[in-house]
Amino acid sequence: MPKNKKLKPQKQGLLADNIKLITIMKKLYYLQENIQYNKQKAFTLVELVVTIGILTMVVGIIFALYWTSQKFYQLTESQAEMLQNSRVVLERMNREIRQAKEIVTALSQSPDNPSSQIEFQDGHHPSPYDYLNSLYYYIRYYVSTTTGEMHRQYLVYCFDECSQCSNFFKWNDIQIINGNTITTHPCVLEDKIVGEFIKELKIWGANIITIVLQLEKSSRQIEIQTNVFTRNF
Amino acid sequence: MPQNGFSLIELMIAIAIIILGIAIVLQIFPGSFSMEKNTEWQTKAVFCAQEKMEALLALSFAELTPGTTQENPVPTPACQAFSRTTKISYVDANLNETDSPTSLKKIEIKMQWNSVLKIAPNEVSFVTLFAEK
Repeated sequence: MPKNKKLKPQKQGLLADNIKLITIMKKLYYLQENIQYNKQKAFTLVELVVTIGILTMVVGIIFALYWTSQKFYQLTESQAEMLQNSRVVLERMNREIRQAKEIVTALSQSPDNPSSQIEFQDGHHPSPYDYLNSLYYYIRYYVSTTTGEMHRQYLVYCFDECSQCSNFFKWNDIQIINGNTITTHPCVLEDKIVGEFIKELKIWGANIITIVLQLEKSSRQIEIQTNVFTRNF
Repeated sequence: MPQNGFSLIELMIAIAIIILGIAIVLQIFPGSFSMEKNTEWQTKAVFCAQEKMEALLALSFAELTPGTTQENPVPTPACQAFSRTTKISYVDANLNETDSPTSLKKIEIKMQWNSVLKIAPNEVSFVTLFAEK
């Protein structure tokens, strides 16, 4: 309704009074409506600041929770990975060392001076290398210090060049040709990575061989130790 | 007067519920971490039990003295968080424990540790038999 509405010609008596009253009330109503409308037009600075404050707090709390959970997730993941690697490596070494026929590596008898690798004669069926018809197959476990990976080598020992070797010998066999002593040399049939995150491998012992495996990932470490009784010596 | 928006109280309650919900969901990760930790203990315990078992298997039948030995903590550096109970006993033909000497011995090794999780197991046991040759 237009605000500056011209009043109609004055009327007398009760009717005129009534019209006046109604007009005043109408004016008042629109005035009030306008005031209310103006009040709702925008947020005040205080409201905005309070809202942003609460929002920041909520986002902050959610982010902190999220960050913590992410940290725990990563911790759990590296922990699980280290554990899997240690188990796989240690179980495999155990199984093979248990059946070993001879330990090639000179091992210390005490924990003071442990070996960081082990080579031994395979006591299992040499699949898939049985076609070589060798009597002596060797397995060597060692840790690559640069990558922290555990390697497993499968070896035979030859006097000839590895590429044309068909006669296989023991690791410590010697030949004397024209008075010169010739020792065998290892020929690697395969070299595979069997585990990761290995920080250190410590092996010592004679009849009972102790293996200590230290793993490290994302600055977390675990250490696992066990004994193997070599029963085929 | 009709309501045109949320009141502050309603909003705060809503936010509180959301935070509570998120906190409960995110609690899974620390929970899974402690469960993983317990798995690590279990794995270590198996290897620490094997350590003892292999050392005993290297002995001769006569050297295995019947009786119970408790190691708390286990002297091995990697196994110090565990307690280890080793029990050697004679068993009869029905594999029941007996006091009188027979030609068969039973070795029982039990590893125990303090678990952070109440629901997770905190011990592992191994049993093997050793015959007189």
